[in-house]
Amino acid sequence: MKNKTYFPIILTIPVVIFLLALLIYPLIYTFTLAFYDEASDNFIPFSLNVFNNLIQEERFLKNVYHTIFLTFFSTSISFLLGIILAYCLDQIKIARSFFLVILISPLAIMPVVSALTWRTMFNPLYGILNSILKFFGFEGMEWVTDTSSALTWITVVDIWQWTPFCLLLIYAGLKTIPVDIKESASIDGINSFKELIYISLPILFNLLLITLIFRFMEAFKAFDSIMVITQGGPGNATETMVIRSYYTAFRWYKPEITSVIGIFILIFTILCTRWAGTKIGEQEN
Amino acid sequence: MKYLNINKIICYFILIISSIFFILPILWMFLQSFKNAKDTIAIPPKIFFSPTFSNYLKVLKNDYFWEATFDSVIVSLMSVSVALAIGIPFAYALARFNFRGKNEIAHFILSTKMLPGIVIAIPLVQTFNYINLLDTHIGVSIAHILLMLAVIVWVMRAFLQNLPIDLEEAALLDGASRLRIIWSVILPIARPGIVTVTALSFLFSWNDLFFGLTLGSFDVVPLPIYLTTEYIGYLAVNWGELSAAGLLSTFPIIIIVILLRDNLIRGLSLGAIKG
Repeated sequence: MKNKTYFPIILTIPVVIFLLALLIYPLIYTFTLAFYDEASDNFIPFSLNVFNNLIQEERFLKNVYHTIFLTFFSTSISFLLGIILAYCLDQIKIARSFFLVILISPLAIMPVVSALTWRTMFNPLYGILNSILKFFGFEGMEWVTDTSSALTWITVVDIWQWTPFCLLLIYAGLKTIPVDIKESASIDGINSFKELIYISLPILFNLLLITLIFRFMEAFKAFDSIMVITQGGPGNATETMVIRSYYTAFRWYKPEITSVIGIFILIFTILCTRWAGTKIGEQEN
Repeated sequence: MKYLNINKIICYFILIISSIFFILPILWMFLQSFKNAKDTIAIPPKIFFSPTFSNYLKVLKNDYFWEATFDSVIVSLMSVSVALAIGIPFAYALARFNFRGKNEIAHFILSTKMLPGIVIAIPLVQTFNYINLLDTHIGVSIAHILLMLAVIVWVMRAFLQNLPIDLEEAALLDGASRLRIIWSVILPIARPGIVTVTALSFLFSWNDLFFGLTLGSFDVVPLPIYLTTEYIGYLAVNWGELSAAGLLSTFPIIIIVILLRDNLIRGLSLGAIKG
């Protein structure tokens, strides 16, 4: 099927037309807004003012830090938890589907609604979490109303939201590993945990990579839960790059800042996807 | 043998602890949905109360809830079907042919998944306003396609690569046209994969808040936007009805998962093994 033909081009054209039609204008617009400057002396009216101002701003550095914190911890913890839970599910026999249904149920709830529920649960005054703590004799906590702990709890909500996604994909992967591999491992006296680490996970390398990438992307652009629970506050303790760009666009009407942040995100996005895409490509060959 | 038992006990222990963590907010929503208005905001929160169905009845009798559901269904159906129609052929081209620029396009599609909606929202609103697509089902659907295209292309690509090529070659020798091969050979055997990406895409569209919020306003109000605007006032939140409506709006997803259960697990795992 490798002979020269125009057929693949025909298959590709619809998707390319769609992407160009939808994205070309937004991208040009974003770049113009970010770099166009009438007062500039350059031959092409262009300046880096907005860009320079932004990267010198302490607040923006904090935004970057929050984004990295949230993305890193949320991605790694939910990914590891997904592996552990998938392994546990694979080990047990009784009540397996019961646990599976419970563990993936957060996927079914709309993120907006679950975020709102988390917000009430976090409420220091009438939230259920503090009631539970008090019931067991602990002090109540401030949860998301305290600057120092807010980001941590936002991360916990994100983990809650997306671990089921990792679990589902990894569990489905573990199910495809032939039983005889596991049996021969156990005959050789390898315990099931070592079997997971040295045999199952390496077989599933590609699946794990894809899961990790999609998970990473969702964490990076987390919007709903932060917007609903803290709106970037208290102060700007949970303000990520995405939340910041939302505010500059729709609250302070400074779309040029949104554009510059957008370009940051875009460059980062393209770097990550290139790396990931090549990595997956290598595995295929 | 003794090790095995300890191992299982630890597994059960981990599962039970994490089940509590994952079910707690949903359980709380469930409880809230059966409380009357006074009980939902009681201090301290009530775990024991006299349950009422009034929240569910109010939501179900509300015409706007049904309109929002209708909007959501229309938008999801349109976006998923168009995304499948343009995504699967491309995934097939990626899996079976070598041509210049294919990896670049594939990478670009992957990056659209990661691109936060906010980056393209403003110009998109302008464009849609210009061509009268703002606040229409078609407009919101077009934006939703962006959310799912990457998953469709990448999962289907991995999936199609795993399918044996012999069938297609045989059909080609028999004189079938290439489009016919896709339609009558590829699509039927790739069904588990298609089911998987369809379900995931539906989920992305059904749960999306951002594009619905920015591109729709009066005529198109998908469920997530309806839930946040209807039951959340400036000062107070109608917790009972919000929880009831939130739980009711998960029904289509649950139905889809139950209907497609077998295909779903098979699809996920088959596509997954090769990545």
